[in-house]
Amino acid sequence: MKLSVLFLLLLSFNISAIATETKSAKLWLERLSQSLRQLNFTASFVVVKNNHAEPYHWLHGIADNGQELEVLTRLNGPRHDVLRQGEVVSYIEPEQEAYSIRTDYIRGPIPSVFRGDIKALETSYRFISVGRSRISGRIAQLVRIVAKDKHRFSYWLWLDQKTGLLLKMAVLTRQGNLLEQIQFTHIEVADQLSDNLAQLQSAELPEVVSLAYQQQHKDLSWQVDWLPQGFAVVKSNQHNLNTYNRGEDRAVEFMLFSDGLVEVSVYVNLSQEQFREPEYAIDGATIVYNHILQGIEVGVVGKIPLATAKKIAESIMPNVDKTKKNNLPSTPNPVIERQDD
Amino acid sequence: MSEIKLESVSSLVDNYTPSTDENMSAHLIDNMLKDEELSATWQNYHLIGDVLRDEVPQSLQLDLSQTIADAIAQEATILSPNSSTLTHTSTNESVDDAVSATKENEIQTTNTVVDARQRFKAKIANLAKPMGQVAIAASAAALMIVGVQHNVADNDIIPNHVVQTVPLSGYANPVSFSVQSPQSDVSYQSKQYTQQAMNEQIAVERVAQQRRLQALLKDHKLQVKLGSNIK
Repeated sequence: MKLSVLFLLLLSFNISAIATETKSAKLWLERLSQSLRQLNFTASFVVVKNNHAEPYHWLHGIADNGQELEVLTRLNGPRHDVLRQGEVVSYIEPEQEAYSIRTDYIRGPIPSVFRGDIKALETSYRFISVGRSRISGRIAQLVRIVAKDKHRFSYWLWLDQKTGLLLKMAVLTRQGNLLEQIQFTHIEVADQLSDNLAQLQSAELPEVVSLAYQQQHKDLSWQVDWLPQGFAVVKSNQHNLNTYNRGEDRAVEFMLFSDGLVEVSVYVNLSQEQFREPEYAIDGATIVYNHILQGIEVGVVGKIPLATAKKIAESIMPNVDKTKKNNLPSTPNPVIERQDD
Repeated sequence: MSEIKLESVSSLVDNYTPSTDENMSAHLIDNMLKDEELSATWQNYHLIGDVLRDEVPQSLQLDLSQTIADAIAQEATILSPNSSTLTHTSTNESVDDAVSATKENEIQTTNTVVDARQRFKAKIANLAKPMGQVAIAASAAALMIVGVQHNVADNDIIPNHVVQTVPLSGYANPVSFSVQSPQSDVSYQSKQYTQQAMNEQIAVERVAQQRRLQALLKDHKLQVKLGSNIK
């Protein structure tokens, strides 16, 4: 496999150019990260997946006291707003009470790693700077973040030559099939903080959810035996999978993995049924996979290929370090509990 | 001979042929049609018969043929409106004896003018008719195209296998779900097309499945958001 990739690379580039292309790509990504953190910008973009488009509005700015301010709004349908004041991020969503979290990332359609340390991706992806094109009326540099193995998708980024900001992003399979894309329709960089953000600065955000009681690194009775290289556990816990008043809430053991760019959730619980055919749904690049094998129901969710999800799900096995297996008390999900108050 | 003829007519009226010879009766009818007197007799015999049988209408119209002929003469001819107006005016002309020859000429010329104008109108009508038909056909076609495009557009927005993901009180995360059970090892794309036909039983099962998967996706998103603050 590696050989064939190398062969392809040889075909497309001069071998001596690869090193410089990678270096240039890395520089571009570092610039992107810097721009996303330091510029005052107003942007509109559209997420295109499953044959339809979701428009977003995105504001970012730096206050006089150095605090980062950010607003991300989904423009269609019920309001989905994300507000950020420095280290506090608030999610305002229609189906639950607004809540805040202490973090410095907004979780939106754009992977948060792009504003973080890009080096975190180097184990699983390689960076290639490809060439220039015109996107949203600007000159853009195409940088590819190519998966090193077949277990994940590749990301193509078009970055504004002037500001280093993102102009377009595409998620592609290894075969080059487009799964999801983000297209910026408008970008404006200003020296001054915009009025909306100035207002946000003085706004009072919802209370920060305390997650202290939630054990985030609990030992579970199940473990994942196989994961693509580069994925590490972000957290693991037990909570109720809320199916919203359908009386089907079930306690699950939950693990969240990340390779820096994508997150994969794994859910495990015992089921009354012995067997159920694998079933899955695709939402753009996100796959939701579920099956019951020998009375164990396993769900896998994330922006990974079906084969990867299936392989992860099939690799679930009892945790050998753990002697007690059944009837573990489940800790309710903190956000859901707030809702019950 | 006249006696014999009258007798024959009488028997004809009474609905039976005077002689067995077929040719003879045919000959008699021919004769009767030619002979005015015989025709009148035929008419009278019928009238007598009608009176005897009490089948006489309230108002007796002895000469129906004349009234019909008059009616026809009065009626305007529909097939050629030009000539009808012409004849109409000319009949008026003939009725009016005092009209001089010059006036007649004048009317004749106006007639031709009217005639020409009407012909022109007819021509336009003839020309407009097919054009109108074409226009109707074209607009129908246009409507069809628009309709079809509209349909296509609709399909684009809501693809076939978009199942409204669990209706979480209007939480319209417009996830257009394409749920399928992987049976064969084909690529995703082709799989999406394999599950076109499904019956109701499957649909019910699908809703449950949908709910399960939606719950997972929902929780995944939530956990990703929450998870970001613990490292």
